[in-house]
Amino acid sequence: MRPVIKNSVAIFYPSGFIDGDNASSIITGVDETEILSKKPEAIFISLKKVVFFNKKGMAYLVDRMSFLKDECAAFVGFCDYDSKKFTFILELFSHDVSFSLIQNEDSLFLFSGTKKIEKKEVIIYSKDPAQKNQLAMALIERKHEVVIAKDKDDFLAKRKKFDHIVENSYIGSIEKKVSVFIKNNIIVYALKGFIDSEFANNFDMRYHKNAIKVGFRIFCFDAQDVTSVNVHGANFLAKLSIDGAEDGVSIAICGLKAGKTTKILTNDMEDAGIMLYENLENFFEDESNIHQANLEVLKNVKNININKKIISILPEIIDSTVHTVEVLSDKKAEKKSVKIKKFDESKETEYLASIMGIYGDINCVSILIMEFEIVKKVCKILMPTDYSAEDLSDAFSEFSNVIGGKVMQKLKSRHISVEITMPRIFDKISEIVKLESGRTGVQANFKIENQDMILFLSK
Amino acid sequence: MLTDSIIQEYISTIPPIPKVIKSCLAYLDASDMIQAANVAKEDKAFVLYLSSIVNKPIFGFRDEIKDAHQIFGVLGLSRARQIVYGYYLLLILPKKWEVFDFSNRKFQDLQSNLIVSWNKILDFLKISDKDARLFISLIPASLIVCEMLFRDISGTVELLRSSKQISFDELLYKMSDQTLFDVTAKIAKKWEFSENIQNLISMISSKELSQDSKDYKILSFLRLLLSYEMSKPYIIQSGLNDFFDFPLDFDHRDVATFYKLIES
Repeated sequence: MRPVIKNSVAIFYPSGFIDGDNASSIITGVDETEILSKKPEAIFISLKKVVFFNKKGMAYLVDRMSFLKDECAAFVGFCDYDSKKFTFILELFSHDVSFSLIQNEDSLFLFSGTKKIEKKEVIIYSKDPAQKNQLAMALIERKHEVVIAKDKDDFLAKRKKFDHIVENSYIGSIEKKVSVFIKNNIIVYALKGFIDSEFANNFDMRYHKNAIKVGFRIFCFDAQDVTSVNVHGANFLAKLSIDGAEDGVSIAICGLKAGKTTKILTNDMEDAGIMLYENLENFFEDESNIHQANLEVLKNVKNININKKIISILPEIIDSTVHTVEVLSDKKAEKKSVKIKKFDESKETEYLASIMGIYGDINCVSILIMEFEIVKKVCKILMPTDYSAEDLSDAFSEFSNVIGGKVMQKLKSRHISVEITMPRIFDKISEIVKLESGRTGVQANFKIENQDMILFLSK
Repeated sequence: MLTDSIIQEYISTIPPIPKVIKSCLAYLDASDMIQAANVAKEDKAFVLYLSSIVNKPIFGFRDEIKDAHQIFGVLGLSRARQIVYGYYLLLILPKKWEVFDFSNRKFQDLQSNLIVSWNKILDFLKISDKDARLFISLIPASLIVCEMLFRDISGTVELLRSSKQISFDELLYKMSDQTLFDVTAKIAKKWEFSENIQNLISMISSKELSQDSKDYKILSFLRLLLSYEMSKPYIIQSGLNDFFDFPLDFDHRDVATFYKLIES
């Protein structure tokens, strides 16, 4: 059963019954290989559509999740259940569980994943005093504001005042050393524990390189919760900074107080170009960082001209995009023009845009811009009925991912092997113009029911 | 995008029931198994189907049964009717499954499992209603409907489902305001099944099934049976596990009773 992997959280959605007969079909060897290649931050099994489960089936799933947890240091467990199932699972394992239980999927993304979630006010209720603290610590590390309810009455009285409530949940252990979030186009890696050779070995270089490819230029390592940095950890960060400089990438470390590392190692890191800040707040107060994160992208682009190789994959990208749009909107996309030009769109409002890096045998950047009304149509089945602007943006990101997947498949049939980065979503075209100005690319314009759709492909 | 006109077009391609089958059923309805078997013998494909179903291990017959008279004899009237109605689905079975990693052999396994388990349930619930026995034969048509409707957009559907959990039933509903069982009920109408059976089928996915409804118990147990059967390894491996989208708010005593009954 293929898991859905989104924002670095992999979730399996079995349906019906889980027992000893079918558990091995839920997480198969193929699924494990896929998960290991993607190294998500969290691996969970949703019990939303599960009617019945028994110990044999659950024990098998826990065993496989434990294996994956060991292999990729992920946060693992079950989510989407009611209070009866929560009690039953704890009883099944005699209240001695190595995995986590998070009551619903929304709460899971508070604890894990790369989905951009603003600081939330969360109230926690748990009968278990140790768990209260575990849950609170995990959320505080993710920068949420947390209140722990004194008792059930206190919880029931206050719950409506909070953005989120966390109850019937249990933290096994979150061993992931690095969690990631994005703020103001800056990628923040939240570190904890020891920054040593193990940290260097487990650091997700693939994610880091892809983020650079998509245009992220400042990476901030929040070391507030770091215990200590040794010579291997410092060397790794210094090397990351030096390697990144070639692409105009800057690295900052926040909260690396005296006592966490030696003066010599601190100097070595500064010599490698790493910016040091007292804390994350100071870092974001420094406007030059925000400025650089948004404007610096193009200064180090070495070759900005489109080439024949890129143009050769345009038909696959157009086909994949148009087909997906037509299937999901039930409207015809009419091609108006295809031109080689610089990106200079002056449209400003009522548009959403996604930018994805394509890399491998061919390296390029694909930009998709669509008017709101058509975005709403194509994203309808990916959103709840009462959707917010954030839901629309998330759905557009998923929609772009679907197109990316199609492009990969189509190119594979031509024996061209590429991978696609996560889409970065923009709601202002001017930001894309800043990112792309000076680049020549191939631009295809379409009309769908009088709505604009633009596809721009550049190096 | 799947629209109502595409669904209508699909329904229009569904063939009518062959005369031989109708005649066979008429004799079964009149409790004349000898004439029913004589008529069945006229259609070799039909006899082959009956034989392949009845010889599945789940029916528990030790020796291979090939002759139509023998088949009806060992099945009895009620099960014979269910299996003859199941033959209707062969008329719309795809030659090759494309959306799901499924086969017609596995489909027949599913048909047999559902019929045998459903009879156990109805016996337990002491329900002898004829329509309640018969409508199980049509339920697997929903899988064929799904395979045929999603065939042209299977690539897009697969990618969508890899980025968001969404069942095939929910996907069809979002695209066309119809569930897989609404479409199956239309097929039942085309094949002139009773209105009661059409209603029962279209209510399977209903989110508004009240506990006071006369059909609550039967539909609740049917949902449990579908959830159970669709959790079998051969179904999960085919990609059909996340197929239906009906409420799962079962009474825990019904779940325990069901599991005990079905595993016995």
